[in-house]
Amino acid sequence: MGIKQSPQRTLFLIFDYAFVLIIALLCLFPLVHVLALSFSSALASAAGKVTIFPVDFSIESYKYVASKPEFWTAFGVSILRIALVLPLSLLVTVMASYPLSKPKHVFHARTVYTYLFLITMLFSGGLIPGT
Amino acid sequence: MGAVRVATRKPRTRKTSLRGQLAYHALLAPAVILMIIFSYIPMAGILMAFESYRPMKGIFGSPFVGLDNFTRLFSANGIGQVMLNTVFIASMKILIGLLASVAFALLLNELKSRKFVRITQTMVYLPYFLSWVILSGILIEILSPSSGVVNEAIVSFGIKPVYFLGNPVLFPYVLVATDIWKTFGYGTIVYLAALTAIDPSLYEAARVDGANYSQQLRHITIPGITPIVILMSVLALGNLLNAGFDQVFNLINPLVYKTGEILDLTVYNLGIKQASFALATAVGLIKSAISFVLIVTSYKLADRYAGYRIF
Repeated sequence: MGIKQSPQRTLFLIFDYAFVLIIALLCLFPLVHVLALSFSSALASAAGKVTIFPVDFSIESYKYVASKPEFWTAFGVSILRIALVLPLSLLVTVMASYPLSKPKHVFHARTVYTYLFLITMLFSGGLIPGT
Repeated sequence: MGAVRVATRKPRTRKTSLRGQLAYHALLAPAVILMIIFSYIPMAGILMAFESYRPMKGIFGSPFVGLDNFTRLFSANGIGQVMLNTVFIASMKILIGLLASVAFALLLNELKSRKFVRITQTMVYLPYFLSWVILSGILIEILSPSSGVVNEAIVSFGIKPVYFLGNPVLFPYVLVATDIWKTFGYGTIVYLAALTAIDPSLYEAARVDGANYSQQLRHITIPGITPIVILMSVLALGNLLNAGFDQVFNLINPLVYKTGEILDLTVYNLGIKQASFALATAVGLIKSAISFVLIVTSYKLADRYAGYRIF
């Protein structure tokens, strides 16, 4: 930190803080807006009265979602998926990366495996399911 | 493996012994088996691009037609326009996204308050964590010409509302702008890390020599992050044909097909919707082939200009 600061520098810093803050708020705004919509009454949100604070606060939409059995099924599937995929994929990935971390004179076939993995990153069977 | 044997031999010979090699292969086996099942066997599907594919006869029973599918694609389906859309949207995303991330990181780097930097950094990073399915719902809502907040703001200035997602001229720019809104926070964090890694003694020395802020920026900061900027942009080259399927798929509508359709969407429409498996595979194969060339080129460039190699 300098002992004395030129006025241009101070001016620049003020603009910098303001600009960064505006951009950050712009990034946050759509998310806050939708959050506010979700807590507003259906009438107020349809009329377009809501910006960043809920109008006619209500948790009707949350009650409606929670009353749907499909929501809980989907939620359960998501949780189950994470609970299964996370440990399994971590195990496979860690097991595969340990040999690949070894230099070539320690693990001779390293390059072969690297290419084997690389090819799958470049070419795939495509979006279309085959036989 | 007995501890006695390890003790009697030199550790180096044990590591390079056949048994040591076998252990490495065994560790790789699960990943390789999964890869063969899910990546290599499905690659046989690429054959469909050269066949008049009939699902009843299967991949190996359908008649072989050579390059017919490709000539049909290039003569009829306006694939040139789709290719143009893809490259235009993707290159705008790469270029402007890069500039936005670097500029924002530089602005954040000048600020002294760590707390302020941390908070704003988190705020711009936030949209990155949401999927396009959710974000497109949000965007359709706020960009709506009748009830969206953005258009309410425009109307309050006395200008007619703009149908952002239904205007074929505007649509590609909306895609670019919203993609940057979602992802620039991630880039900012990468570049900010590179900026903090610059040796502070360089700035001290420059100040002692009487350099002002813009001189410090030009001679220390910019050269300091140039390698990582080159690396990131060169690696992005491989994505020139990936204009973002998730985003386009969720935001597109019939009004803007002409300017908004990208290669991945064509594959989806041909293959899944119209069940023209052979044509869809041909489009996918063209895309893979061009991407392959681009990726190899970009790695070569990254190696030469940024000293980055993966092998």
